[in-house]
Amino acid sequence: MKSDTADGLDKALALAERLIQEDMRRFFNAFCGDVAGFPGGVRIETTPFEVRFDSDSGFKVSVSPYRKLFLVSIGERTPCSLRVGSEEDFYAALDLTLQHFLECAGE
Amino acid sequence: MKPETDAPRSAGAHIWLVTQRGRINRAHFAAGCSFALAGKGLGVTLLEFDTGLPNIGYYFGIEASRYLRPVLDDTVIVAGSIEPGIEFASCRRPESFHGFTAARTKTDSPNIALAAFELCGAASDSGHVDAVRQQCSRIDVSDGKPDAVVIVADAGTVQPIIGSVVDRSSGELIFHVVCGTESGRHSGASEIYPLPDGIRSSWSVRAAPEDPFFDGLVSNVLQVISHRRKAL
Repeated sequence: MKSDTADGLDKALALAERLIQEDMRRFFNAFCGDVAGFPGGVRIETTPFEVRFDSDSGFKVSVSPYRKLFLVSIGERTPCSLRVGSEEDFYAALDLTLQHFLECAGE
Repeated sequence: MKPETDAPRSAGAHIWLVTQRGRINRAHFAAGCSFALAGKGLGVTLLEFDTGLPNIGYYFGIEASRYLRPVLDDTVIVAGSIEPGIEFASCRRPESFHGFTAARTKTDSPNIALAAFELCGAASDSGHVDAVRQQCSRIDVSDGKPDAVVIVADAGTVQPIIGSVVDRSSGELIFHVVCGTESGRHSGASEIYPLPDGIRSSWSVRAAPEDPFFDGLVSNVLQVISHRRKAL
């Protein structure tokens, strides 16, 4: 079920428990928290296995936590999937997610 | 708006750019205004206080591992300089600016101090405004009080934001850039401008926007500040 940001973010962050490393939980929480705060509003849907972010402008990203990493899939038709298993991966994934959001918002 | 600038020549100016939280792209607006000011030959010190992405690092072309570091550590300051004559610093918590000193490499021209931050139009805003003012006082001789405040917000949200930033005793000039479809004519601001629909088209570009809107806006703000000073 899709929900507004504050309520939806709480449910999304609960999925961090699927990650066994503290650093990865921190990256996952930071990633979801910042994407949820992109300007103009982003909807959040949390399923048992992933968090989906979208907006009216066509922005779509899903985040799937596994034991030691999480996957970020950006876009809908031909999504680009990134593995986040380190701090450098985190920066790359958030940077591309932000760019995708800004491109959609500008169209 | 008048395109010609009558910038204050005897002194610089201190301007706040306040955007409605969660609604406006603060960094895009701040980058556009700072480049428009620098394009007039003025030195610019831009301080960005706030949490949401993007931050000004995105628009100043800084690599991801640098401009995104504050996401993982909110005490980190992303700072540097960029041509023409802009010193910048961005941090998620105003308190973290302790220890930061603007280099002010462009000393042969008036310096404009810009502080960009977000408010939501709630009672909790006042503490944030106090923290911003305290940090601004460290880089500006005016005790951290702005000469002018540019507020970018919906017509329905601007009134409580004005209430949070304006100190009635110091007479800041208020400019309201209205986003959304409603008119801002009842906002109480001294000057009101509509935010152009097309401004979002450059949101994703990793460079400061050069839309004529920003040039017109800052020209007008400087002109009104100058006229106010001459009248005093």
